Amino acid sequence: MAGAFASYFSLNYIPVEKLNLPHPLPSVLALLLAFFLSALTSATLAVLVERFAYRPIRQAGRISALLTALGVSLFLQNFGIQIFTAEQKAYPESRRWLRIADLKEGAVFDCEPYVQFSTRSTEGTVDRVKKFVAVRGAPLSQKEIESLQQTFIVTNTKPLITGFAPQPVSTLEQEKTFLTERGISDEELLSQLLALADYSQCVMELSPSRLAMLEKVCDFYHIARIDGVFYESPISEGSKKVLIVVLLGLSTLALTLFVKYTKSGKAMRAVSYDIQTSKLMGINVNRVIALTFFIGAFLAGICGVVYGMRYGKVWPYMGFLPGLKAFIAAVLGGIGSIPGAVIGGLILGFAEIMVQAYSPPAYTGYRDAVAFGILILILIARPRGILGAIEGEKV
Amino acid sequence: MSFFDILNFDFLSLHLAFIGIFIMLALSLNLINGFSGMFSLGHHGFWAVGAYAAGVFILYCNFLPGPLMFILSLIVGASVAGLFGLGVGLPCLRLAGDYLAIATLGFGEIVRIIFQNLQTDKIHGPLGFEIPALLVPRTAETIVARSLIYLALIWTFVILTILIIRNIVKSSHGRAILALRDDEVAAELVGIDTTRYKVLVFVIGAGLAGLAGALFVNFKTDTNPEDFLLMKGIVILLYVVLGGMGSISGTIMAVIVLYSAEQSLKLQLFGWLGEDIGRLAARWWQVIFPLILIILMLSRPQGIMGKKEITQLPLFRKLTALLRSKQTAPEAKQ
Repeated sequence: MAGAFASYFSLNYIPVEKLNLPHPLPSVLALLLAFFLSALTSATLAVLVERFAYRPIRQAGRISALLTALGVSLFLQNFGIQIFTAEQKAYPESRRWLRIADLKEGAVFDCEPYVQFSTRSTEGTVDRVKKFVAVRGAPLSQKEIESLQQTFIVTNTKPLITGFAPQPVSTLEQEKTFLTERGISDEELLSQLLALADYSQCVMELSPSRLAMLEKVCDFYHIARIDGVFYESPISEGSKKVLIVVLLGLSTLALTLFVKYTKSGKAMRAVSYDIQTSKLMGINVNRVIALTFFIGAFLAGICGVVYGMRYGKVWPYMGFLPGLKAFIAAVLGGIGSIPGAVIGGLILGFAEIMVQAYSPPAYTGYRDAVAFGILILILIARPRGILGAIEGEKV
Repeated sequence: MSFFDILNFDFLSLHLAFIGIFIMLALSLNLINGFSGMFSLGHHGFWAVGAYAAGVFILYCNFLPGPLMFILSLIVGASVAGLFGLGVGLPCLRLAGDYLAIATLGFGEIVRIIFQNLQTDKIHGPLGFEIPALLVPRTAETIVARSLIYLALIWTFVILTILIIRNIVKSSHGRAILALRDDEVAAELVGIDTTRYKVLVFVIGAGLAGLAGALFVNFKTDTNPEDFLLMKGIVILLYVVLGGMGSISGTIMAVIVLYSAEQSLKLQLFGWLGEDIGRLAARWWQVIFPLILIILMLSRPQGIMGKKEITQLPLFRKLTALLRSKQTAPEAKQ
């Protein structure tokens, strides 16, 4: 959840377009940034949680650990509800940006391009608004391009002050007289300007004469030329699925290589066999466990981005059910085995979708029950999982 | 709402009834988690099963007079839940600690999913179902009588539950169960049939939870799956952990304290501290209570009473000794 929300904010608010890169790169960069920030947020959170909530009870036994983990998960999710509200937010899967200079006559967009600006209400709440500037599917005409080139974002940078000091806030009438005194006579322009609250913006098409008029009050309005349009062309379903599979392959490979061949990976395995002896051998157990949580949450953050892209929405409790199913997949595949986890996840996902697809329509709500049913089955039949090793119990 | 608004009969009787039901639930969970050392996170599943079983029975077999139906529904609820306890306990015998927890959590979720999707002519999926009031009809005139009767019934069953659990724990079966908690392997070596006791504890715990569910459904004539969510299950778990896993009196105290705290926050009874604080606290209850769980596990995992009962506290003993000596002294003088 934390990672997905971090990427949500990153995709929505980080202005990658300011870098003015050639065409396909901004969206790729935005996506990479989303992945990176998401993973980083999750991982940092995990390390903090481990340090303050899990490390003190490491000695206390598995029940305490599980209760604490449950508490942490509920705490984080409910905290998320308080911050982000419980509603589902639409995930902005791709934000691409095209420079005005690159717009060609006859270009067809597969979704509506827009310009984004912010409005501010009288109570002070700020909203980001999109104004659509062309129609999906229709070829761009030269006229439209010219009108786009004459479109500006106008920001009201100061409250208009009339008279002298003791009247810091003006009324609409005062503003109107102020503007007409300065030479703005065009009714339409006037009404558009009056509609702006402090520091809010609107998108206007300004002919050269109106532009000249507006420049007379340029102390109070900031005029920015639009230099590009956004468009959220949906990434095709196929490429999303390819992305998921590619990520799966890469992360499995990376994780397996890491655990098998690097020093930290070997340290992790040693700690999982026997903590006390590892300490005696000079392994910094605290650091190893923190690294484990870091890597786990890193992958979880990346997964959050992909989940948002695939399902189109993010909300604070989005990770609860997937987290449980992840545990079930791990148990199915065998705890302690990375290829086992992959196999377990694939089998679980496949089974769930198959049950949902082939069950009569009235029963589709039961798909989540399949996962838990599989859990109970595997725990009865083969508790160590498919690729798991038998853990002997020390008496 | 101010503090004095709560001192009216309707309000108090409603919440006292719910406190009674939650005490029954927490005590039955304490039998499984605290006294036997197992770790069940799906207790709300048994509660839901008992409630729905009683509800289905009342809705579809309503051909007997009211009070008899009531008693039968209690029996049905408890037995069906007990059967589910058998069904869950048997496969989970060889599961340890966290695996058992996740398995029971899964069971709780399956139950919830099934009930949310259950659509019959009288049960409306996520909207739940409504049963006719069996003992006393729900009208404006009978409301006082209804509250009193149900309060008396619920608390009778609460006391029954306390007696059942106390007697189990004090018996030889109880000693076997406690041995099971302390060291399962050693208990097996000594000759205790751990299988039998594990299943027994699950069945009794589930049965009592089902009884609480049947009472709940009868009292609150319209229920829906929202009442049996995982959060409720975690709250019951928190009652057990806060009170002390292995202490009956601790659990009762924890239920009273936490339930009152939750309701006071929700109703903003602390509004006298400042309106904003009242509203803020009500919103943030969902965040505060898992935090309580975390802080509890970090600082005092044994809860309020640990494994002891209130009757074992030195203060309590001194008080009772004082009372007893006052009784005997006048007789001695004569």
